[in-house]
Amino acid sequence: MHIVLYAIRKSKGWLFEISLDVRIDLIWWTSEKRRDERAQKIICISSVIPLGWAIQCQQYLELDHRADCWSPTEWKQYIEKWLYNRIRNYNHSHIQYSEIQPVIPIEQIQLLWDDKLGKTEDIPFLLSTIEEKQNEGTQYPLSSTWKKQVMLGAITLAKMMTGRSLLATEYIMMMTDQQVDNIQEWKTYTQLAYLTQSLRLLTGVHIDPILGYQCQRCGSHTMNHTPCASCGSSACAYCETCLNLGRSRECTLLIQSVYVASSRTTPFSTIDIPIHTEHIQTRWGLSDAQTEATTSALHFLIGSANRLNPKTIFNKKLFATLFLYFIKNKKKFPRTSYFTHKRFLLWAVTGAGKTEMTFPLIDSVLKNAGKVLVATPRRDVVLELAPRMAKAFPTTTMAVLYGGSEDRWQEADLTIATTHQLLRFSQAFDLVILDELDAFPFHNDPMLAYAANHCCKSDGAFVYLSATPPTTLQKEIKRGTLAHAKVPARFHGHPLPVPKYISMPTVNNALKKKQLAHTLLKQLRYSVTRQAQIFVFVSRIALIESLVELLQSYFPQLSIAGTSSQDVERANKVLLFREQQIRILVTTTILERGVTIPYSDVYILDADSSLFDAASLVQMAGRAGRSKEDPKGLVIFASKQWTIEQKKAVAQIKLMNRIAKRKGYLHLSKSTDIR
Amino acid sequence: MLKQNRWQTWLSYLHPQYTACMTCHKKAPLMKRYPQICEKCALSIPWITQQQCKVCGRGEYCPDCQRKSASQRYFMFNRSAVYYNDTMRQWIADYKYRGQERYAPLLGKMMIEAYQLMKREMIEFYQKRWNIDIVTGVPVSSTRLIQRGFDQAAVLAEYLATYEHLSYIPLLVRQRDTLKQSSQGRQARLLNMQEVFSYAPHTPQWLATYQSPTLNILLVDDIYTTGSTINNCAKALIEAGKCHQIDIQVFSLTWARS
Repeated sequence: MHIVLYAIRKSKGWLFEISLDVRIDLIWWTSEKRRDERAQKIICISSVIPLGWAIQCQQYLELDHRADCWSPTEWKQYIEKWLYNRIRNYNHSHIQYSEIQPVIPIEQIQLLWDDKLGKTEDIPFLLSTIEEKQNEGTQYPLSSTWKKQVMLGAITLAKMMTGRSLLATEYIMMMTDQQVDNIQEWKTYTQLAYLTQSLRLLTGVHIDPILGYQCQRCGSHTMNHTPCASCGSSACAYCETCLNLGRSRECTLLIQSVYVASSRTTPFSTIDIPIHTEHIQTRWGLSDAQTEATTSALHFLIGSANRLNPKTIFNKKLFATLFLYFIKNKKKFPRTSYFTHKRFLLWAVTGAGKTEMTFPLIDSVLKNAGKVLVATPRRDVVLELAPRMAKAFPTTTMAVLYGGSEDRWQEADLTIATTHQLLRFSQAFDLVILDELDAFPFHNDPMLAYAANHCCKSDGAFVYLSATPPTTLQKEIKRGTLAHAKVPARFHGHPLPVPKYISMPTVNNALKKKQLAHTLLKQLRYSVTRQAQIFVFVSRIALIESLVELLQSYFPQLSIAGTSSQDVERANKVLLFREQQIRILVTTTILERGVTIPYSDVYILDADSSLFDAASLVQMAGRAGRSKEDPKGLVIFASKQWTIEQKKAVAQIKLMNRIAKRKGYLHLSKSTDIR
Repeated sequence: MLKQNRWQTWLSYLHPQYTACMTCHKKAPLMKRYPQICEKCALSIPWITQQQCKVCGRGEYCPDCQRKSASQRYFMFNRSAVYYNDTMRQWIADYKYRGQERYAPLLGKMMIEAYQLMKREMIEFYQKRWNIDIVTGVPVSSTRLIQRGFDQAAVLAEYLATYEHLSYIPLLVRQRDTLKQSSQGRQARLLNMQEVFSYAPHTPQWLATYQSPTLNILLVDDIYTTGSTINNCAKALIEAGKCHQIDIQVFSLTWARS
């Protein structure tokens, strides 16, 4: 899109400013009340300049007193030359420079306001807009009623946008949804909100002096440059990473709310109620292990002692900036803001009841008028979580966000969202709870890490939930830089089933020979006779179908099914499996999380496959023995080799059991599984 | 720079590092013939090699072109590159609606191949030289152009024209914004398209510069469904020709035939 770029001379010197509606700027800068800040001169540079260029000028182009007596030609030459050099410096080699030729039409460079010369009404530019308005029969601009209307509009928009970061199209959609009056005047309102510094106007893709092209919404650097019809640039960059949420271009307007970390105390430090452990335990029905972890998390959130002092933050930021400077061309790097938030890891074993543990934390923040976000990677988890949250916090306003959800623009204290939705927020939440941190979309996705960091207020806090934290976090725990609490026992107080190893040839081999190894078969027969539901995990989708056939030949009386990520009937099959209509379910890692089946045994075939790392082995093992009635499920690792990943997984499970036993969370002390 | 490149070439033989395929996002060796996609995706392209309907270029039995309403036809015939199946729908959605403009070279290349196939068929049919004088695209409205940032038909037409050394001239304008064709039924589409297109003010002069009594114009679009868009455009072009008594034959080439 296009925007107006103008230069303004204040007592301190020249500045560039952008505007969606120049009338507002003229009223703002020429008002008598604005003594020191009052404009001495305003020169309109262009009203059809691509947004990206205008913002570059506004942020990086400097002007000195020589500009006082420049002619339009000099203005034109100065700006064009600077823009040309700048764009050339940051463009990648594959763009032909000759194509990029910033042009500012000279007839648009004109004086809008001079303190010595006259009033606003004399200006031809403004007059024309006034006449237009009169012809249309609308209210006379600059009248006091009009000003009042604009002011109210700006306030409404600023309030509506609190904590959000939206592209222009989404912004308009939100206004339509919220039924803002006089939507066609949104540019006027937004400009006033921008001048009062309650909204920030940015470009979707920004050229940063150090990082080069960067998407301001998702933080990615993968750009494609194409000719753009909406701004007229012949190499307008767009971000390829976040295309799914609407295209973020160099010339699209990104509107963010401005959050000022107030000097008043944050929601956490106002919690002056002493934490009553018993109270928490009885109110939310938590087990001993859960209560201990939750209270330590609460103490952490309230306590300011654990916060990094400003000096360390500064040092770390400095280091990060330098680091970034040297690895300029590398795509992956730590974010500067990554270091500044309070972070707490709740390391809870599979089936420990992580969701219940977050309730006291959420409650404490909500009580102090804070905002909470619960982010999980998958949509079905969001849908499952929403009713539980609604039940726990019946009086709180809640928004449930996922692709295509209806509460997209709703204002809420408690937000439950899929991770991609976080891109639409900026500095919005006091507490961000990230569930399943190590699961598919979060892990190794710099975009989502960026999004998570940006949606949390600068004085907010993160709580990570995971059964298998990624190695980076485990290292931080060892180093002592990450506050955490372990929940080593399940809510029913039985130890985790320790995997048993069975040696067998590969599944491929078994399929070729059309017979299963007798060791495995023996185990399977045992599981069948104890009436267990059997999970069979394999490494590849291609193996599922033939393995189902082979198993069927051994157990003709049982119903056996296979499912994978490509199966449209997956949800249905899981349901049938839960209802014991299907007895053996052959699947891949797609079902490694979030599925709770009572009376289940877990078989992991080809456990030595490189596709199974320690985390996913622990998760799969965690499918067994989750119910109170059958806490001792079987977990079998069947493979040709005993790999380091399997060893790590078993070690982690045993470690958790040992801690649980030592702390006395286990009901059965005679258990022989713990070694 | 050169030295480093040579090293990288050697290293790439020992340890090939593939970039991700644009359509399936898997890391695989990319095709040279079709830009930015892997071999598997390239093989999944449903080319139309044999037309059942010689009018609209459909690969299967076509009842539409035998209807009475179809007799009001202004274009000669249509040929399409591919069947409009789910994969192709995904591709065009990624390109048009999500705005992944990396698809443009791929779709352009597909258009070029379709054009060559069409040309071969024509030369066989007419038993003589058959050539196109002007390539033009079905226009989008200016509001949509600003919103989307590019005009897909024009992009495809330009790719084709540059490769085949033809002249691409935008001859048509869209009078008003119509509802998206993809969200409507057959009858609604036909009605929706009436009086939407007209020739641009400069069009008759352009046509006159060729100083030829007959002109062959190739009309390019992305998807052919009922043919109403193409038909209305062809009508406008023929009207433009009447200004200077030029006999215009409109041939249509679209990327997909649904």
